[in-house]
Amino acid sequence: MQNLIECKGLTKRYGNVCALDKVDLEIPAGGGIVGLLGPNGSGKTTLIKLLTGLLQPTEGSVRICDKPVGVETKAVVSYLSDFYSLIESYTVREELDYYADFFADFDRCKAETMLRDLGITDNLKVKTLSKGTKEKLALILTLSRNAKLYIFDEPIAGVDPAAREYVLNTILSNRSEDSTILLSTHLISEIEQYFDHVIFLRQGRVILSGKADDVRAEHGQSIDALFREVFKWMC
Amino acid sequence: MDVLNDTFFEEPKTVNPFPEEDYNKKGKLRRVRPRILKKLLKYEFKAYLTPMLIMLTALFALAIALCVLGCFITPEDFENNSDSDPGRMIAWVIGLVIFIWVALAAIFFPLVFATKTYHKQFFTSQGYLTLSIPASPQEHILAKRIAGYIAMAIGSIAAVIAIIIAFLPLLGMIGADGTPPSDPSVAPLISGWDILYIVLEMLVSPLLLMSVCGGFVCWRHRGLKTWMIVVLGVGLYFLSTVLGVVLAGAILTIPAHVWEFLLEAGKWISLALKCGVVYLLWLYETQTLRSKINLK
Repeated sequence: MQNLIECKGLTKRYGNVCALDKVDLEIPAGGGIVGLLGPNGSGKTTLIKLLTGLLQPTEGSVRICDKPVGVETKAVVSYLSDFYSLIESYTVREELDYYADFFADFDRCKAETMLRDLGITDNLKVKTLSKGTKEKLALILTLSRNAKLYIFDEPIAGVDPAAREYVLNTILSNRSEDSTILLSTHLISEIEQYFDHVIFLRQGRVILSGKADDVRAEHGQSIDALFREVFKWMC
Repeated sequence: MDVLNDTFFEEPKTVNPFPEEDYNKKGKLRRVRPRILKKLLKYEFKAYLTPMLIMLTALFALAIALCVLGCFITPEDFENNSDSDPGRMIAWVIGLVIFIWVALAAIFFPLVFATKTYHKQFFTSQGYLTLSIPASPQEHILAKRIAGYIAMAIGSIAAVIAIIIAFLPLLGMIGADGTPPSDPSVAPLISGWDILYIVLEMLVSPLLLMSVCGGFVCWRHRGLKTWMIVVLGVGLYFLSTVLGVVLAGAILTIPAHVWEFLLEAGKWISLALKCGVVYLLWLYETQTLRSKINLK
């Protein structure tokens, strides 16, 4: 099976600080939900930024769908950062127009249906929306693309439990056989049951990578328990 | 949520994001694709539209006001004799000062606006979206330059038209004296080369200004100290503008006709240097957008 993500000797340094250290990683296409797990400062966001082309590696290579990360891979990767990345001066409808113009895989009907379901009016300016509504809008825009790879950076870290459930349900209900969801989080217990594949990052190195069921069977405990054990001195 | 689930389980559409026209003959993706450039330009112009409309409306409103005020001004008002009304003159001068500032703002506003949006779109959280769209740094920067240039051109043309409107009554006053300022000996001095130079200068100078402003944003992002940025920006601009003339003017002992020739050559050297600086800044900015941004 062709790999969706392939990292070889991937290294990223910020001056003297090594955020990622010779990471070798392979995630097959249609890999389901991949949990990118690690404590703060373990290199999760750096890895995600390298996958989305927001950063360039210091050494090594990263390929998506067998292409080096760049303009071509941006067309197949749908990314939700842990910051709002909306254009505040636009209305919701203009935001949709922007996505429809630049992302060939954007499904406007899907976005409009979701907006209707959530009662978000499309003639409202983004800057007038509440924090929670902005988060939902960003999520809708990200999920309305029929991308091969969805990347969510800490999507449930800063939200209340009710909104957390909404976010998770929305992401999980988007599972389709040919797409992969890479989800970075350190709140594992709430989502562990959905993981098909897990990657543990510590100090910029992959210390564990495998199918979630295999990891559970091998270590005889849940991924959440294993995470707590592995990172107990770091959290 | 049920409705959402139903929606999500629909078969995803298979869309080719890169049509054949996006690739060159070697099969590589073009760095600048016209269809993406058009889309980026659409959003650039959209951003300029409202502030430019406000700016130009204010400019023309002031020009018309000044024109109306000018209709009440008589030649005696300029001579400060007993028939003149100082109130009329004071109102006109105040209007003129405000008008000059607004006219300057109309010309240079696109530059400030371009710099502000450049920073916002790439170096704030909005950069997560801007840099995630499948467009190359070259396409992003080219769209910004073209839109900024056109906005500056519109601002400048509008300023010239507004000046003509504002001074229309005074032009009539000059005409009344029966001495139109015409000198037939001026026209033959403007050669084809001069016209070419003026056209190129009008093309390159605004681009240089925009490039220096773009460079300024990138320098700031890359951690250069403010004084270094100011020295670099001002230095680069004046280096490219003045150096050509200085190079020619350094040799003062030469005969007048050679001196004139060197001055002439100097302005072309200056133009070439400006083009060089624009190109260097272009490379610097594309490199910054490609590999030097680390959004917080």
